[in-house]
Amino acid sequence: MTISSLDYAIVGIYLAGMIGLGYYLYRKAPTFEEYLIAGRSMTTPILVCTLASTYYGLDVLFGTSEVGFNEGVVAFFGYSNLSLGIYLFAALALAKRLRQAKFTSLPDILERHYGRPSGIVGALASIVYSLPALSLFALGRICHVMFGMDAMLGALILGLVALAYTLLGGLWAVAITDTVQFVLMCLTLAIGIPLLMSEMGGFDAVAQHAPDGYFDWFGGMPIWLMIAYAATGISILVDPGFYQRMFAAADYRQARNAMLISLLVWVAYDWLVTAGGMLAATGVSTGVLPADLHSNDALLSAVTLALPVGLVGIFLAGVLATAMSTIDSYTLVAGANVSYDLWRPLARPNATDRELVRATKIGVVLAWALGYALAFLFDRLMALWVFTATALTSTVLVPIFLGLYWKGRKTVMAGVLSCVAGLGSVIVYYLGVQQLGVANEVYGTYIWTFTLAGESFELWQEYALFFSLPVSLIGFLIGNRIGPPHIQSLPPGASDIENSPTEAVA
Amino acid sequence: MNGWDTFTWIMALVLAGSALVIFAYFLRDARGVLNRGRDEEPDD
Repeated sequence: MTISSLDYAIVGIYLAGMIGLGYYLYRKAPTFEEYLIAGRSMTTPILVCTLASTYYGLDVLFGTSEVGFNEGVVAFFGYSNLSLGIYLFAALALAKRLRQAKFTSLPDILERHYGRPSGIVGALASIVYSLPALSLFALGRICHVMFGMDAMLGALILGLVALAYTLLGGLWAVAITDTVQFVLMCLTLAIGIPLLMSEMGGFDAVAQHAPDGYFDWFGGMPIWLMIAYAATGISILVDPGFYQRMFAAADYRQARNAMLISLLVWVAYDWLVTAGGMLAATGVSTGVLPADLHSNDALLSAVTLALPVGLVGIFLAGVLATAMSTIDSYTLVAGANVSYDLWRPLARPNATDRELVRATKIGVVLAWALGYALAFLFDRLMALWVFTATALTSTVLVPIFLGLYWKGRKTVMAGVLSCVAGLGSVIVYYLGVQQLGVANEVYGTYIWTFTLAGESFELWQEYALFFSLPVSLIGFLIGNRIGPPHIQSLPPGASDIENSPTEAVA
Repeated sequence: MNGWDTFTWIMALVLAGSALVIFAYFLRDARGVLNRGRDEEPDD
């Protein structure tokens, strides 16, 4: 890939700017609440930027464009949009409940409703999920493709930039750098894809070279697989980064409005990366792009081809921004899980603000280092990430939602059994399908095919949630019959009921 | 123009427009955000 000096200079300015912002915000000398959840004072614009840039990482930029490249519009209609109903629920129902109750972290919800043991299990699941292994690996790969750097070195250098400003300024630094990154991500894609469309001859050219079914809304995917992919949208309902932003909102209306605006941004973003993948495939068919172009690199190669000098640098900074905004957010979440959800309750119940901030920074460094080590240890990193997301959802979704919405009694054992049964069933299911099934290289998963009553059935590893969530619910129901109800201790100003008088009016 | 071309242009305008409008509102709030808590010492 040919990149001009001007483009390199733009990328350099972007990286220096990120560290400069972090240093500036370091001077704010934050308390723990300021450091972790921005003093619960974030307004809609900054929430939109940090939500959109954090939740849409390189997996969307390159994953969705790859599906668009290979399978066409199903990447948008089948894979992406089916999840939007879940996001809408998160905006309209969950945001208010979360903001009113004044939680500090995701495991905090479990601890308040079921006691410390469930909080500890939730914290461990959240830490594993939040390790930035996939993002650091992807960052290294981008450095290799864009700059010809060794992937491990690239991930180390750019990952350290993200680590530096996260350590310096906490969530404010993360959110304000996310804002710059959000604008870069959106503008470069909004300029790059129409230019690419013009370069390739528009969708008339795509239709001429496309295989059959390329414009079928739902392609040829099995219905259960489609439901399973749509169900991955459930992960936002337990995503620690999403929860952190809900807790950081000035009030629930700011959080709700931010989610609704983010939905619009996500729809537009999803289509443009899908279109980018499809247009790149046409570029390969017409010989404009190399025939051996990897579908994962298609969007990057095609857009840099279409953009003029200068805009390429901004686009590349936007791509780096996409990765860094995910790394900074999740390392901060994992660091807070280490300090606030594990170290504080287990070792230092009366920790001061200064001690909590220091412990969180140590946790951030540990999470980053572990994520970096894992990034270059596993071959099938995407499969590992899908597993950790499934495990977190299976562990905490049922107890969190019953905690938030079930008005009846809740015991300590209900939380523990629900978490443990959900987590255990995922592990058993994954290992079972891996042992009994066969590897499928096309989908990168294991499939177990069996016959029952003369009918042939397929169980994919991706179907784990269909089993683990009912098992987690059964664990809750059994545990809820054991022991006395857990008594909640609400922090000052927190409320579990709707229309809390403590809410400020937006 | 193909219908997909039009859809792509609309989505590009939505994304760029959203980013610019949100950034403008962010700048409105930014002064308060950046000055918030400045020069304070961390308290125990």
